[in-house]
Amino acid sequence: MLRSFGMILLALAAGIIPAAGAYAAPRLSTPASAQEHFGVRLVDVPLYERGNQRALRYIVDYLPVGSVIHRRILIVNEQPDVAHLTVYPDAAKITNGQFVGDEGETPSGLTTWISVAHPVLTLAPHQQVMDMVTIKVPPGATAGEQYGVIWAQEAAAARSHKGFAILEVDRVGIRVYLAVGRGGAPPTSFRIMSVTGTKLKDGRPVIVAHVDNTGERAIDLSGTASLTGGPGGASAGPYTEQAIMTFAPGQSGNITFLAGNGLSDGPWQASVSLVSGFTKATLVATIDFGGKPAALSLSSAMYLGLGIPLVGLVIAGAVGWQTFRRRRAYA
Amino acid sequence: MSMHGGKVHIYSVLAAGVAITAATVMAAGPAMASSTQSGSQATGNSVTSSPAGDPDTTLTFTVNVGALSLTAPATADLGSGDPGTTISGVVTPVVVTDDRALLAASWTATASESDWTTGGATLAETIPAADATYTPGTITTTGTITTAGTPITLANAPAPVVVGSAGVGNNTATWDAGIAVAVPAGAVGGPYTGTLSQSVS
Repeated sequence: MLRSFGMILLALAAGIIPAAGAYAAPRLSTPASAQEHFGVRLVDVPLYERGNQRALRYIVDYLPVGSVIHRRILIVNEQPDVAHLTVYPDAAKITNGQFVGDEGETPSGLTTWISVAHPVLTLAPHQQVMDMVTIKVPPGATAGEQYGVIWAQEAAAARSHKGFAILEVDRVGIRVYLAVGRGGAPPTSFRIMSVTGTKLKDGRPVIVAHVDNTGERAIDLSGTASLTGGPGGASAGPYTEQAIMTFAPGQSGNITFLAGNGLSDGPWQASVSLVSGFTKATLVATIDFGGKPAALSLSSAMYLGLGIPLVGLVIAGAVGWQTFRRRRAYA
Repeated sequence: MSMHGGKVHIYSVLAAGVAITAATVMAAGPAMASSTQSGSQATGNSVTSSPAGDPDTTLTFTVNVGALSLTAPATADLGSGDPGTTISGVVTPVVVTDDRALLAASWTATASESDWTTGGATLAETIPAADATYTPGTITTTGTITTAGTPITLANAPAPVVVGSAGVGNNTATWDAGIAVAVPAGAVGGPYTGTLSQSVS
């Protein structure tokens, strides 16, 4: 249907008017774009992971060399017309606190281990189908964790146009965090190194927790920040994170919590609790929102994980760090 | 079923709304064995609770399905302009619908762009992706979800543009993607096509 509509557009552009009575020419003020609308869901989750929120969203597993796993995924066409989808594995990176699938169909060690039962799908309107993802860890695979995504993709058909035009390629995917090894699973651990207060450029207070991934598996961090012991005994929060932050082993960065407008500068007792899967940590520190606002916009606050040193943070963090050092007792 | 280090692991089917259909039902027990929360509470060091569960027990759940989906127009016209000017248009609406009914819902939407080409797509007939920017407009949401949008300079490699986190249950986020192309002064004339790739996972 889309193709015939496109042909009508071309005919009109060329000045060819269909003979009167053949059919009524469609009104073409702005040709409506067809919409791409489809989705995926992970269906199979290992029984022992059923309390793990990460494992309900992503394929997270630890496998010895030579093993094979199967995971069903559901693919749904939400369009009122037929959807032509491709399903394929892609490499992914964890950078700047985000898990990002690579462009196109980027191969990696992990993608060569992954196959999809039905890589090409034609779905009727509102049809949904199950597809099967198989991951085989070959002999000789190196130990360690790799990242990838299983994408379902729809690409728009090219059409004739004037000026600048965009063709859309949409992808919805299920992340894969796959660790290879033998014996007990590699440890997941992270440490909240500091909790500090600062302000965005527009003056809104923000609580910043700096985290090190000290384990051998990637973490997807979310959590809450609460304030107590403020001026006059006030308390505030809990606040949830501005954006979930993902760190690979060895990476570190910041996770931020936007506090309420109009909060006094402090000092406050800030308690930040973070969780990734079954792993949790909490740090309590004295913070202050005062001082010169850091040169942050809301969006750059989200990416403090870039590791750019921020003078305001260091000053505000000194008090928190002192408290942290006095309290700490390493296990 | 699969072999996993010699043991057989039977996989449960993800449930949002559960009807247990198999004969064997696992004995009720805590989903996670809780470990003592000592000392480390105040130090920032993490504690991992070992997941309980018997990998050899058969248990099947009926699936109540709901997916993470993306909606975007298949094509968008940005209009025309002279070399040395900026052409702006909007890809609208872009919608992330998260119907997975998760207790902890989150997703990341990324965008990347091919180079813009016209004619035979030679070097002279190409405008690099980095001459264009993607600016997510105001994000409206339904359900419980926190969103943060970031304007980016487009590139062939994907970069995050909108992140949804702290979600509870089904949620949606809708925004207009402003696309602006700074047409180089030396660009040759013609209709240019770019492929915008939006991904969510």
